[in-house]
Amino acid sequence: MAVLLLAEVNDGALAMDATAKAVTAATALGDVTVLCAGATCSEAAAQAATLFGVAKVLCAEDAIYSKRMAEPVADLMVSLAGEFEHIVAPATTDAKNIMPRVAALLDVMVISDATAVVDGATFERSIYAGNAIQTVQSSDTTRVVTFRTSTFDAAPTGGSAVVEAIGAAGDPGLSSWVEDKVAASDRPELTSAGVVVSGGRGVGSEEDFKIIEALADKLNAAVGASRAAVDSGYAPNDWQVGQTGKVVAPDLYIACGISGAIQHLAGMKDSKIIVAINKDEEAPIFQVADFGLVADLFDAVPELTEKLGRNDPCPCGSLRKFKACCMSSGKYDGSLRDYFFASNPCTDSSLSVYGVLKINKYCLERSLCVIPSFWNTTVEILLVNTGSSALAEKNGPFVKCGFCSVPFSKAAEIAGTLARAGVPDSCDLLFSY
Amino acid sequence: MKVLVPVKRVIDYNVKVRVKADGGGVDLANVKMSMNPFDEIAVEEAIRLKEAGKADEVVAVSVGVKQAQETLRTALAMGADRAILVVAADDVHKDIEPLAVAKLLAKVVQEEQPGLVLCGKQAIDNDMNATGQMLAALVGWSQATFASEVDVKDDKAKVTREVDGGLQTIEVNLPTVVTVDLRLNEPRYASLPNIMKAKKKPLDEKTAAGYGVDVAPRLNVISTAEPAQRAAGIIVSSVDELLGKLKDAGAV
Repeated sequence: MAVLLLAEVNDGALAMDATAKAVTAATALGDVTVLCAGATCSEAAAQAATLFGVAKVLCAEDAIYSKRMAEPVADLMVSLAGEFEHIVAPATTDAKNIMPRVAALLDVMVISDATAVVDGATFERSIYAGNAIQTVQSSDTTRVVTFRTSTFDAAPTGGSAVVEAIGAAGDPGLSSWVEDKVAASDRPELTSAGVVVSGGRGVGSEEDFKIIEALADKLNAAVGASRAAVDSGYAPNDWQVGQTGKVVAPDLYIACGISGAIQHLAGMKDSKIIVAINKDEEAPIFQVADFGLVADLFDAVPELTEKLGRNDPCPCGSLRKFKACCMSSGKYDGSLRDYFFASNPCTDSSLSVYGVLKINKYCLERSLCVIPSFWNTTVEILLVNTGSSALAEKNGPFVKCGFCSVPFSKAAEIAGTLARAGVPDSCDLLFSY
Repeated sequence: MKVLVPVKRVIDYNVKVRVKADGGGVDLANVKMSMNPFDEIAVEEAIRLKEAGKADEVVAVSVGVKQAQETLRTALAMGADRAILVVAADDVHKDIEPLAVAKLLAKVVQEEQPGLVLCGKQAIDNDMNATGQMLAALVGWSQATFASEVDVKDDKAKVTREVDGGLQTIEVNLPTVVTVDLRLNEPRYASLPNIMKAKKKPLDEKTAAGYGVDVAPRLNVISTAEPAQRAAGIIVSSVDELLGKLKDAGAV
């Protein structure tokens, strides 16, 4: 019972969240071998090897895989398919491009966007834009499946699978990459964000989408949009939530000016808490919302943005209420995150960080852990040694203390990680998420 | 260059889907059926290629029940030159799987030798998102999925694709299979004179058996169920009340 899982690798970097969720789904099927393909992907392979449930990682490095064009990657997977009963991947646009090609080359059907594993041959998937759930049983000997990531939890890290370098399959030479236009953003990735704030046609213009973005930034949320908003040009296509866009299931989904067309609901109805703000009380979105507010979004959203977090402890670590501390003293300019990082931008371009947070371990425990927008955020902690200690002499001014995936609500664990790394209390923390 | 456009007859996108009480699928009897919206975009793009002088013939093809004739007539009314119907099922409830459809389309491709196949990225009924990719694999062609821009030049096509992080532009060798996404174009409505003219355009009828393709499903549908409904929520009267509720629920 062996499973080959195509990891999501973009330009050499592993998309940890999507891959880890697919690993969870795949471990129900058997021993998981992860395939990382890219021009360079040894780092991605090493990272995939830390996922629990992964037995082995295959690392195929070759220029022909650099942009993961469907034709060469499908040929590579078919060349490896022999020993595997299942060939699976997270249902990203990349995998949706590649996996049906793999299936057809193997003369088997593909099972797209599976939402549950019933047994080795039987899967659940949604059809008709989520209006019906179908249970299908495959009669093929090799089952090619993509998993909808929003319905599976991410596999934890801490494992140590072996990584094996493998050679490339042939280059069919049918296609070539021209360019990527990737929207750069400091916000969390839409499909894995804990909070998503979305705007619909009701927002009315690209300019007015800023009020949606302001609320999102306050909550450290990703920004989404309905198809109507994307088609009207208010928001870019990669923000689209829905059956034909991205399927999300955050802890909190705030829909602003979205009527709730079936195809949008299909993309967000598995969210834990849904809030709807719409001035039309008949809007279907209210039928799925846990909390509905019948109001003009142009009044309600800025008010919500302003009032959020006023009574939380101040992020500066003063233990006073935010509204009585930095907010009233004018240090705060509208975005908590900007506030955190604005004062000390990181100048080391090799680090993907947003800035340096001048705060010590005590403050981390006492204050950051009570800022809810940072809960459940996966953070990579890097340490900046401000004093001249032995650590700095040994490793230079930056010390990477490892990938820390504990929620911020468990600040004690972070403190423990720091202690084990031998970090003195005087160190500042530098983190990215 | 000849452009082949596979189109699928599906439940109209405005119709509320009802799951049969016995769990045996979705009720399609006496329900309004239309062309899959993504396929409409593909037909439109093919016609625009012809209007721009880059294509000289647009052939629509559909695989399914006899009633798919209506869908093909729609494509002809929009501007396709002729149509091919491959009858593969006699029950409207029987959905031919993408693999079987791709195999039949591969046969049609062999006969017709098109330079480009343009199809929808997925059908809105089974949401499989597979037929185009499978066809490309079976005929050994390049593929460009989720297209939002298609530029055909000489023996190559430059295609902008809608991917997770934004947009990706690739260049593929012709012949190729392009599957289209929502933002590629806005399909035209067929005018009444064109609808009348479409009735006289040629529509060939073939069968799956005639092509020697086995359309038996590989996936056995065990059950079809309504999705779990969310419990009814509450309407709050103010932002303050909303914030209070969210705090109580631990969401902010």
